[in-house]
Amino acid sequence: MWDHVLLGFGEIMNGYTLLYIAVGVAAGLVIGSIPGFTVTEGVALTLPLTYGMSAVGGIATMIGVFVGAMTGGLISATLLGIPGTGAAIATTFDGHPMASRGEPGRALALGIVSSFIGGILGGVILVVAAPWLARWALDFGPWEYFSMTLFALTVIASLTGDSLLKGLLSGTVGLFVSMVGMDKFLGVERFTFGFYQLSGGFSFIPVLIGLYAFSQIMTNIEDGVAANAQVQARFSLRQEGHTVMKDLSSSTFNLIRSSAIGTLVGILPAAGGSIANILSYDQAKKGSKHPELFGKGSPEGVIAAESANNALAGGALIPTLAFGMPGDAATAVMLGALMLHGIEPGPLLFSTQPGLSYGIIASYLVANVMMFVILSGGLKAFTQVFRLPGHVLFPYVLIFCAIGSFALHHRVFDIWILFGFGVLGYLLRKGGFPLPPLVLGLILGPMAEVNLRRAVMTDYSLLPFVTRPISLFFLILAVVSVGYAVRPQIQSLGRKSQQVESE
Amino acid sequence: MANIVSGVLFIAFSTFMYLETFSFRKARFDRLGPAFFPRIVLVVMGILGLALLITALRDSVGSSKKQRAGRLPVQVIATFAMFGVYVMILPSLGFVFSTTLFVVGFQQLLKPTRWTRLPFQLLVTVVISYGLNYVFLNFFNVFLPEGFWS
Repeated sequence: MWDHVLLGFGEIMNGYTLLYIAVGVAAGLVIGSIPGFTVTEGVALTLPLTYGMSAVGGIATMIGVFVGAMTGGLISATLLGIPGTGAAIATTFDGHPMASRGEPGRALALGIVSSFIGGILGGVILVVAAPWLARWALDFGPWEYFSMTLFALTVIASLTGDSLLKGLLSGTVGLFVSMVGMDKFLGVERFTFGFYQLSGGFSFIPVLIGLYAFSQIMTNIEDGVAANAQVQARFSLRQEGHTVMKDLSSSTFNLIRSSAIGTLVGILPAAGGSIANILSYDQAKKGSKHPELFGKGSPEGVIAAESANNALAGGALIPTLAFGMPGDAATAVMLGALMLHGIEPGPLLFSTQPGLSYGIIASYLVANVMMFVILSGGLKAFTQVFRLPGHVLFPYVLIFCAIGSFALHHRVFDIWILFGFGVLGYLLRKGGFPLPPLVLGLILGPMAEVNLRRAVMTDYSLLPFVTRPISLFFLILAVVSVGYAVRPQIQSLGRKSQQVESE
Repeated sequence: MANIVSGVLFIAFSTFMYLETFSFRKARFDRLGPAFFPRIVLVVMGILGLALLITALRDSVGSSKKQRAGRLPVQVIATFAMFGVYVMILPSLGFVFSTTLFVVGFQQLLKPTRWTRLPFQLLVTVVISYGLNYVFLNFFNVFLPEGFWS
């Protein structure tokens, strides 16, 4: 394995690739630090730029953006109290109060170091576990893939926050959208209504960018967010060094646990950064000796949130490379990039193309190191981005979205798809429908259908779904996940009926 | 009110699309067929839509508060309209010209400036749009629409 790791490093240790990673990290940091722009948008906007690059170079650039954007959200979360990305939601809980009481440097330094350590731990697990998981994945048949996809869908539904019902509805919309176009087995056109451009289905990138970037900008415009913040406090990272090292050394278990949670959430197909940082924050608070300090500027809170979201990036690469199943929406875009370069991720990737697969892992590790160096040295420069007002920034973001959509097939029709899903995304947001289930229904829908039909064609009986151990394992997990999701609703119903009885 | 409308829309949409599935061709060797999975998804969507509608109706009956109509998001509607016009004119007027019009129009919508600054704003936008077109054409092989000028 270690010779493959060295081979992977050898693939990326050239001037161009390292430069791409560095530029990607810097761009990701900028994108992630702008409130309203997500990690997925950053990676999706990078995709067209990688068309002319080699497969490793293109993916390395996108990983740089991925890692940078995951960390970039820390800046606005800490200084403005607005999460730069969904992965930095929990960072606002303690990062901003810490900055507000006059310790912005401490909050930022804690976030940067936690992100770095979380990312490296995620990378180590990636190096050690990915090939093992790849060998295990060779035992997967269509029954196992279907059951795993089903579990992935239920995990998302159970983690959609306020309304389970709306989360599930959003997921069904995504599943439906994935079925538009030619059927994979018979070539039957489904729901195209005469539009020949839809024969291949909806292009993933315009749908994704429309749902996230377009709708987010509209929401920002409606809310009057102009990204014109004033960074009031001055800070010096060097002065905070001693305090930060003391914070980290007294929170070592929290750091490791949060990184593990982030990696595990990342491994789960279809889970995302916003889930990882909130879960780890919740666990950190429950395990802390001083939970009452959480929400008031506790360093443990910042450490938990930031280490988890960067560890997630490494974890998300595992199912992407080993199964060809995206760990989250951003890796779904990377999966698209791999396929554009004619590479099919899956269990055989590690054995047939070790240079590429370990090159991707190596670029992830290098990206984390670069993130730490660039952000530590250039933090003040990055905070200048807050001075760009929204009326300057937003039009060009929409233009980039349009270019990104057009570039795929050189069709204006894809920009209309972007527009249409932008409207849909905005309306869904207004109605309180979460977007991640929709995107993941879109990604997982074809996988679920193809494997279900393949399984039934192989064996008309449905028994293999429960007699094959791995498939049964995932079905049980799916049931547990659904139970976990409906438990709060059942408990709430129970409490209400008790109240009615006592009245 | 929004949830009631959403529930009705989901039920109507899923019903319409379910009926559409009867037009799909079948094959003997494929036991499930191309309509199977869509029908499951649409039935689930319809049931969830019904659940949303019932929940929303129950909450609106139980609630004593009157729902205030929200303010119409004029800027959002205008932005969507402008982008729609931008996509319509893009093939005929080309990327540089269309983008310049859109960007300047959008910036004026978000933050109107004095008319004396408009020529400068137009010039900057033209330069940036041309630059973007040049970069994407020469470095990324993306041939953005040139319009009827070419």
